[in-house]
Amino acid sequence: MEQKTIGYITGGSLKTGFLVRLTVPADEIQEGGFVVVQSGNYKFYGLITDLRLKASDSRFSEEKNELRLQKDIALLLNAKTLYTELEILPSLMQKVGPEPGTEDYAQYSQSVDSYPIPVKTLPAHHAVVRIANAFDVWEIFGDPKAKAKFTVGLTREQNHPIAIDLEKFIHRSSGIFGATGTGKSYLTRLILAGLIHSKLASVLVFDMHDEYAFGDTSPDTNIRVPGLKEKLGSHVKVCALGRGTDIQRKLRPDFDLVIEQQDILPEDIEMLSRELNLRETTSNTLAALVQSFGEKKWFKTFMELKSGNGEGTLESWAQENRIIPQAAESLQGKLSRVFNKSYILEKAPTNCIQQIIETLQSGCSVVLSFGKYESDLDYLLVTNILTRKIREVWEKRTNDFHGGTGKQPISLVIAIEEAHKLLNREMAGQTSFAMIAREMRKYFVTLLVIDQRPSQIYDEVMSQLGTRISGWLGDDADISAVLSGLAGREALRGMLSRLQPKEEVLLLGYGVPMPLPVRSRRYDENFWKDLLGDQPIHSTMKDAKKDWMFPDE
Amino acid sequence: MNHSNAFGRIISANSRECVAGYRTSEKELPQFASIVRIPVQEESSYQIYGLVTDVQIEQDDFLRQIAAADSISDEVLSDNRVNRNIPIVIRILFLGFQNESGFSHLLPPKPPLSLDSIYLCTLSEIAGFTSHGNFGYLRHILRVSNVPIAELLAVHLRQTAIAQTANNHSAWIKNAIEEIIDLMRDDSAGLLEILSALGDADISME
Amino acid sequence: MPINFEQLQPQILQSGISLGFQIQERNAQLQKAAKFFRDLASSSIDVERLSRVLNKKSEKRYAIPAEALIDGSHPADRETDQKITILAADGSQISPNRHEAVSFGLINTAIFIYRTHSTEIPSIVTETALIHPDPSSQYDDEFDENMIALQRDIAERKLLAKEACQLGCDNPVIALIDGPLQLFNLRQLFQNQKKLFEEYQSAIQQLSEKNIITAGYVDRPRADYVIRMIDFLKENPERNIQSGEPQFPLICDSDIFSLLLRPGERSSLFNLYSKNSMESKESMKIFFFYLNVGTIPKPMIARIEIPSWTAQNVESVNLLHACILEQTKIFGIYPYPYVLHRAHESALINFAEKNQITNLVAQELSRQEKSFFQKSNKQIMKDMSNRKISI
Repeated sequence: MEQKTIGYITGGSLKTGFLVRLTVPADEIQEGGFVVVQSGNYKFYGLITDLRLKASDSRFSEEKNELRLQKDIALLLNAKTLYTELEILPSLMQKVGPEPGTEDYAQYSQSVDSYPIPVKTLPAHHAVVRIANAFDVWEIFGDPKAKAKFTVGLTREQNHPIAIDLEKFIHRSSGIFGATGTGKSYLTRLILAGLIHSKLASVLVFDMHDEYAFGDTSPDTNIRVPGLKEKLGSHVKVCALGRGTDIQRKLRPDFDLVIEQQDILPEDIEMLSRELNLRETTSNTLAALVQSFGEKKWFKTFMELKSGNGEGTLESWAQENRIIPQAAESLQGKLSRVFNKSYILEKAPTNCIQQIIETLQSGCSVVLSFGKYESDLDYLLVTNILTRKIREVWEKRTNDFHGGTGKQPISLVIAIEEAHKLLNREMAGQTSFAMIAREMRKYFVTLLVIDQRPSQIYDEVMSQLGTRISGWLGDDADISAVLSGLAGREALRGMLSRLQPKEEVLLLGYGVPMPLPVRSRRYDENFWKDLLGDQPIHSTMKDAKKDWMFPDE
Repeated sequence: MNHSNAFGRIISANSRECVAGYRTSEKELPQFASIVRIPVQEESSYQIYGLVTDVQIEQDDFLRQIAAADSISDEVLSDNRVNRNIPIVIRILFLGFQNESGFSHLLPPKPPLSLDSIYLCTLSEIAGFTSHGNFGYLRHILRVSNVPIAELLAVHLRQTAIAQTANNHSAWIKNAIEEIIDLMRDDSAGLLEILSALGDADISME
Repeated sequence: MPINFEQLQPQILQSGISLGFQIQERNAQLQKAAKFFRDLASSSIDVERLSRVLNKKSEKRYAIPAEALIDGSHPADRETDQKITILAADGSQISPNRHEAVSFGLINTAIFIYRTHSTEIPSIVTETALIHPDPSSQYDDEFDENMIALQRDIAERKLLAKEACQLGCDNPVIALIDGPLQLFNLRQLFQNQKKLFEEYQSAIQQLSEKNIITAGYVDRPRADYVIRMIDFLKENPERNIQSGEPQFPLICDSDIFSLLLRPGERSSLFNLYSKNSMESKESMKIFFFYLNVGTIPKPMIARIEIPSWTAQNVESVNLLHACILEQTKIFGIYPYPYVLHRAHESALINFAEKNQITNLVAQELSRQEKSFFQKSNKQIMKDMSNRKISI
């Protein structure tokens, strides 16, 4: 087994991390490297979070000794007095077991002792530090080919495959972040493909920009990349908002989504306060409307009230209900933007929402394409109504399941793009999403939040996110938001800002045993071949596996 | 360097160093930073190893007078160099010793006695003594006072590197310089002075 | 006890005053003597008559002109690259001291051999002789300080003769002695020491036979041989000797010759008259000349004594003159022959050596006599108080 030693421990603490004196050239080591410190009976796993140039005396670093001294002597002096110090964020520690492949090892690997646990002590001074090898990666991140494992990328130094645990990934709400242009949507496709293919959960994707179902052409490479529907076929149903809407102007969806007027509730309208420029009095008016016309008919009836004087007019209704007539009139005007949406009908030919829910319940995933309805108004309204309905169904089924009258509902992941539009501080209280993030875990529904501005998402929601996968982020507030609620966030901050866009992502949180930056897999034909089994496994991964299983071959 | 004739005798000594007399009429002047050995008369197997840290020609008014003259004839010159009993005083820093158990880089347990003879070490004796242990003797050199340590070390290392190379140990010089860097790490000015002198000594690390 | 400087101070003052008077008087005498000398030079001196009168009357030493011209001044021959071997002799001695652990005398004689223009390294020959009292000797003075000094002088001449005579005849050889060539107390002392006298004579004989240029170098001579001659010849020699009062008591020969000789020049030759010279053989006769080894503002006169065989050969005198001058130049502003200084250095017994020899003798005597030799109590106390106290 390869053991590339890079230095030895010189100091540190649990709070500040371990300090390591590097014994190899600094350019062989990068921030984010996955390293192992072996000391006594324990192996400590950690992440390189900082590199510092140090000198035993500042004079040795300030003066160019190679110009002043004989070359060979200067080299010796520099080697002895100038060095690089690493800072390691320790994450896990594990008892050193027997040699892999032995009988003892088989027994050990099943015992509790073999599990990595959070770091609770320190390695000794001068303990040797090395880059993690395939076996270390396997010990911590598990077998990437195991069930419920999905390989997100490869370690940066040694190309060892790193997989996330999909069961954990769907167990709590998760997030995928990254600034615009950092490959976030490809990463999302990758994760969604893995998730759908694993059949561990149904996925409802709110595809605001028509990216996921049928694929598109990469703006960078000009190569067409396939969509989920194309590759996963029957596992994915495509639904388009509005009747007869084509996706990408030529492709037909599996079914359309039309919302009936009776499905719209006052809270759906209140949530649109900013888009519709509603006043503070709106909630009073809406409450009066529901009281006058009932929860199912208020919208239609209100919108059909005529202007002018006399019975049956808007004014008379307002007066009867002690509403300022001008306010009612204004609200009616504003709601006409919703009323006139072509995907809102008095009566849909089929119960579209039900159809979606049934599809999801059957274990199939749905990509809801917004097509031409790209405004925030459409997005907020539709996602909220749909999610509310879904929530009701999953709550009921879960209760039935717990009451012994039904089966366990299938896990559902709702993927929301531009999540900050629904989950900002202002909206979070009004939509179903915040609640799902907080509570729906118990009802087998979790969110997959996809966003470029995580700082805009309400703190409480962010802190609920279990697994976080982030590409490059530049803004300090966004970085802080992604790291909120995690240990060692100060050490990880710099790493997020120095990820290579489109190439690298940082895995954090619940779904991974420890934070780790990886070179993300490419969303290309090879990926699909690996996933769908045309080719058994990626060649690098195969090699890596062989390495630790049969090191002598 | 290869002969081992006695070239001087101890005049005075303490635990760290000794002073030896040497006559100008001797054929070969001991060089600054030469390694010498002093077999201690009473005990045949016990000998002290030292380093020539200073070579001083005693003051002589007579020479001053001659030096002030317009010209000096060859006869007068050679008379003064060869015949006149002007002792050269050599200061020798102890580096360690050798007894039945072998070499040691500790200071000698007993200083040499008056009039003990001093011998220049041969290349193999130098290589033997300096290869022992882990450069312990360097600490004696680094703490010597009233001596230009940088020059002393530079000449010593150059001479010893030749001896070590002759004894098939060419990596010695690199290890020695690394040891000096380790020992002097906290005194950057002193260390740079030493390394600069090593550069002037044109020491090859091939 | 410390020096009483209070008492000393007025005495120093007084001596300075009287010295001032003396200088005036001395200058007057010098002017007068110089005039007489020039007068004498211009008239002819009856040397034979002078010798006869002196032989009858005087116990003192006089200069007798050896050349017709007495105020001659001869520059040295041009410097040549001729190879000359110069031998210089000197000796030193330890005089017996009855307070020491053992009482003994020691003579160390050194010959310094220097070959000019040869690039050869000069060589040194030393001989050391221990002198201890001869219990059978009937003379007490044999072992005193003067006797040791005399023995040293003879040892110098013996070794000089021996070394000089061993040399080949290719190059001229010059044998130099520090001080007068003739031994002052020779006659009187040799009455009891026939053997020594014979050794002395033998040494001179050897040098004479080999015709080795021999000379005694007298630095800063205070003799007044020539002054006495002037004094004697000034008026009536008969009267002068009887009265016995010198006319020029404050000046000496070197004062006259420092006026006469320019740097590098030597005077005419003179015969040194003494009772001894009259009695001894021709080879024992001593001649001398004065030589200015100094510079223009600062003349320095040395007297060079030579034996008759050297004096008779003008070439030898010229060679000696040039050679001594070259030697004195080596020391720059303190002209003194280099070879003589080196002979002195080589012969010198220093304090440490003296102690070492004393110890060696004492050890040997102790071994033989099974008794312990130690210094006298007086000497022990003296040594203690002389020792430096270190804190």
